[in-house]
Amino acid sequence: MTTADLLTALPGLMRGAGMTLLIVLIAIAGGIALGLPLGTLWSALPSRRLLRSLLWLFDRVFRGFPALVLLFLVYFGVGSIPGMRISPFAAVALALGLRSAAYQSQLFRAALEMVDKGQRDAAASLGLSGTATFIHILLPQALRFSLPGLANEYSVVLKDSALAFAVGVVELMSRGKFLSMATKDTATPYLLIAAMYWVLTQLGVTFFRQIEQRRRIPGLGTHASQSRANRGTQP
Amino acid sequence: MSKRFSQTAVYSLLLSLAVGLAAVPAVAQTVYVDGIDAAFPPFSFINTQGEAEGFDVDVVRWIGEEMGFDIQIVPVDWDAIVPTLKLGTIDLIASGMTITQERLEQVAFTDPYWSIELAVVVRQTTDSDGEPIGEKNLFTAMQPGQRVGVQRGTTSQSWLEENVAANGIEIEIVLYDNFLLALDDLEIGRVSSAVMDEPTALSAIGGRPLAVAGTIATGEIYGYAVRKDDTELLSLLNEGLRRIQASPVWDELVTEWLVGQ
Repeated sequence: MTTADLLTALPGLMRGAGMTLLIVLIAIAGGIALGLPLGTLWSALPSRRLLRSLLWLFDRVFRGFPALVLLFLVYFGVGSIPGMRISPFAAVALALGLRSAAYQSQLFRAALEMVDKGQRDAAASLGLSGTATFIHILLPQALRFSLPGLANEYSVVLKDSALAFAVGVVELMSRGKFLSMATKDTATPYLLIAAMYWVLTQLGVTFFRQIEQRRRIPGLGTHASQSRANRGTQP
Repeated sequence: MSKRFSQTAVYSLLLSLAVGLAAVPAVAQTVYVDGIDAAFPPFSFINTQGEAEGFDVDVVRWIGEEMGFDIQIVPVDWDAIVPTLKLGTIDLIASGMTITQERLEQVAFTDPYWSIELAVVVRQTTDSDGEPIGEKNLFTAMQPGQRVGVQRGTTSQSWLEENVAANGIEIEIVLYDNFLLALDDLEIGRVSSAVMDEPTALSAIGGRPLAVAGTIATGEIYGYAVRKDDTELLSLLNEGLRRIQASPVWDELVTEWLVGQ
């Protein structure tokens, strides 16, 4: 592949990267929108059997299959229902979004459980209602605990987005395929694509790290210096 | 927290709205979507600029202009191209597609517009006069134990399965995502030959130490595929094919894409 080829291909590759980013952002956003309520429900209502079974089912369905299988099920499955049509992009967004929601519900459930039990007691003793406690005390802390997990989820969804061409969405991976075909070169284009994926991953990681820094609550964390065992032994 | 929260909410709503609008495909009555295999030169492929090119691409665009409809060309994963046609995401397939009994059960084809043979590609070596020659010929390439590469889902694969393997000649058919990967493996020796449509083979082996050992006359014909109930598009395409084949444009395109690579 010549440098001239590279230069003519760059705009197309950037468009592919843009589409990849769009897919990832929508899937993650959808995942948060659905996963946060689900995770909250799960951690708040451990006793309601029917609800728990439904949540469990959702989790198993969307975490139990390879992303590609899910993608085909959504795209061809919905399409096979008479009268229903779903665009390739919508199918990708839906499949990856629901899948991310399933993972994120676990993420948020764990994050909520990580909040020190004492916080709820303290809130109660101050006379805060359940809702107020959740919004002002529990949720802010849980969100901070969930940031590393979210960064990881971003990375995972980014890689899953490479499957989108199976249903016809042209993103970065497929642009790489086209380039490889057009230049009859099977190595260089993919090295280029790999580099671009790496950049996209780094963007996400840096983004989440920035949020972690800016929204850090001093003293909140799982440092050994804050653990119960050490209480009373530090100055 | 209130103000920032509502700001964030508004922004995310706007974002999802914008994205939602972008995701809705705009389909007007006179636009037909042509699904192509992005990796099938010389009939259809995506060039380095990301634009669709190829014999079938040019023909379909000409027919569209002549018969009065717009064409939108989208690359589709070849494995899923027939289901995608049936689903309605694309309206026709113009991509060097062979008319087979099996495919006729799923889709309707236009009148055949081209016929091809299958080429058996092998590594190149030199003979006693120093002339380049294929390492194997048609017979030595199809011996038991030989590894033969094909693109998955093509007539090359089915021909080999039905005519070689089924007749007791135990070649090992190696499946590839696309024919280029098969040729790469052929070059480095992982397979001893690769079988694919002849025009495609000729377009790909230039400049590489590969040669066509021979061709298999399968009587294959290409046609454009539409949904079985899409009689309107089918007649538009057939009429368009009649017209283009009667015009000098046909010979021009054939010379440009299909002859003398």
